Amino acid sequence: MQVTATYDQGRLNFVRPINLKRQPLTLLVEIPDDAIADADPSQSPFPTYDLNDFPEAVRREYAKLDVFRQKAYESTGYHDETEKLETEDQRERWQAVEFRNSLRREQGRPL
Amino acid sequence: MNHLLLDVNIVVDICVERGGSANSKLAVSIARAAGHQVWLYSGSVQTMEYVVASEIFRLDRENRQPVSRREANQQAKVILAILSSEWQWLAALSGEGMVFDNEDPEDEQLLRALDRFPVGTAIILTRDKPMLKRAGQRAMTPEEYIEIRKQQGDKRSGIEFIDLKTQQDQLRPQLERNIHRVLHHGKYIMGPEIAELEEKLAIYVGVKHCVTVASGTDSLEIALRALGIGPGDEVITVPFTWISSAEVIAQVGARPVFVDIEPVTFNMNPDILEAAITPQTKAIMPVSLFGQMADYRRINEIAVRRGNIPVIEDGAQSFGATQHGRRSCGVTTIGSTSFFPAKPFGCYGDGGALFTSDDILADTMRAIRTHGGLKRHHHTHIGMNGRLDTMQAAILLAKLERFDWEVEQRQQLGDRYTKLLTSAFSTGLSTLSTQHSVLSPPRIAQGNTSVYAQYTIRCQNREVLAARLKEHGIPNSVYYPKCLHEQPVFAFCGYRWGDFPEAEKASREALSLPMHPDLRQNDQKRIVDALLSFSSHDSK
Repeated sequence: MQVTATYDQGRLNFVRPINLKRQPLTLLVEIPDDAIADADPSQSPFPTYDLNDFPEAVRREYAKLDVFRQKAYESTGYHDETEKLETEDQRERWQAVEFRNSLRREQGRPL
Repeated sequence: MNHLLLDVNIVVDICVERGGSANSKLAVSIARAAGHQVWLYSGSVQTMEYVVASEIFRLDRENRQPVSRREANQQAKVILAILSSEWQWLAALSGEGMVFDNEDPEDEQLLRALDRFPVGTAIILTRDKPMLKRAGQRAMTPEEYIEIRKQQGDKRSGIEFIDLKTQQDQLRPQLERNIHRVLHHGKYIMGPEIAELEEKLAIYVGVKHCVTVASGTDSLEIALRALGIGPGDEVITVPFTWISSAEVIAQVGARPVFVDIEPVTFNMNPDILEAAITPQTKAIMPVSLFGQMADYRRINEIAVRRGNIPVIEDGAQSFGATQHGRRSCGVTTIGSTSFFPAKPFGCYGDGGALFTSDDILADTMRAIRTHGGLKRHHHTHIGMNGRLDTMQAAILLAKLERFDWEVEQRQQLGDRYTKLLTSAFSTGLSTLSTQHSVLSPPRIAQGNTSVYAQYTIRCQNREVLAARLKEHGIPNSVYYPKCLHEQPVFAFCGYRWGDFPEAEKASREALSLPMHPDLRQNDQKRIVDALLSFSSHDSK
């Protein structure tokens, strides 16, 4: 079947949620020719700042945020395969937030 | 602009690595470095959790390090927990729930939440164009915020003389929970929090009874009334104190009699107390000034020897202090304290308490605070409307959780001030200009601990020093610029300038520096450096 999907920042999202039997799944996607950009994809749309232009106190706070993030990633891990199964409650919430995210993408709004 | 309320998209930027993350982190870092507050909206907890998780899931797949959705969710919760321990949670209030008639309920909640902040002090940080349009000047992107702060330059956050905001930030969950409990049970007068607070404070002080009242001033008046003091009676106190101490004596129709202070502690001098006692003396009311208890061992001994004269400790500034291991408000016939917001143990309005182990006095004070009756419609005393509000008791119960730590911090900070000042003197800076020299830091009497309600130094040319400190961004205050016998209202007492030389000298020399339990050590060093730099500059 053919369905409408939106593409945003490397992700393809179905406009209306679909439950697939298996993943990953290979799809055939048709992209309008005029949607393909010539620009360098590594260019960021945001201005960049040199942290050295800011006082030491700012750099310290910035470094703290990176440490927190690293700590979070290192602190999670599962030793038991069964722990990877999500609950029904969590599945429903994922669907709800995916719905929210897909609406915002349609509207061109950040998540 | 002291408050940043983060939209969900900014929180996600900070939790994951995606376009815009660096600038969102930078904006928040600039705010924190300046001592500003970053807020997360608790009404968005679920959205934050799952949007962060969905982005972790997506990005890890793109980076070919796929994790399960559950793992992504776990990582999201861990990083949000770490971040939110650094920032503040803004409660979702009931007025922010009825938003479903709005185009975007999520946005509407945040916009309504901004109303809580004083105008111009808070913005929403967001990348969301519809939100930016709706909020106007009340929202900006991280890049806009960075540019504005770059233009403003590196402004150091001001030193607070007394910082109640940081304390509130640390106690916010307990304060909000306790306040809402009162709102829900609706017993705004003599609610359950009153009895709970009184029981806990009586145990803390080490007496049988605590009677909470409407203010520190009321507590002194109720104590005097409970002792039956009135016209024709004299009450001895000190002239170097806040006016309440003598005002209440006149209020009950008695006559204030002043006794000079000790120069070192600023408290009543027991050596000259006895000479002031007459047959009309019905109470002695020393003040435990600036956080240190007066010499109650000697004062009590004199009071007993001279006919068991009741002693009332005016402990408005000394709650938490000790003398030979016993707590302020627990060593005299009656102890009185104030819960004014700026006090070491303060509420968010007026409040006070009385302490005694005398059952009859306790019941009398309870009756007086409630229009003179312990039973409804049965009045045995001339009383007053002198009850502590249930809401203030709820706030004090929240603050009690942190009080021991705060007392410890105050003592450490006070000791550190003294060490920094005296070590500067010993390194040759003691030959300061006599015009502007810092004469002495406060001294704590042997056997005493102080809660440093004020850290008060003595100096000559105080007004010049005070102005110079303010120029350096150091707030300071004068307690007290005039003695009570100089006040026109006490002219009837018949005292003259010169009658209390130590109190008079203190009123011209005393200067109080910033003091609160959250005073940072680098700010304290800045204060001392400014004091010494000013003094050494003038000595050249």
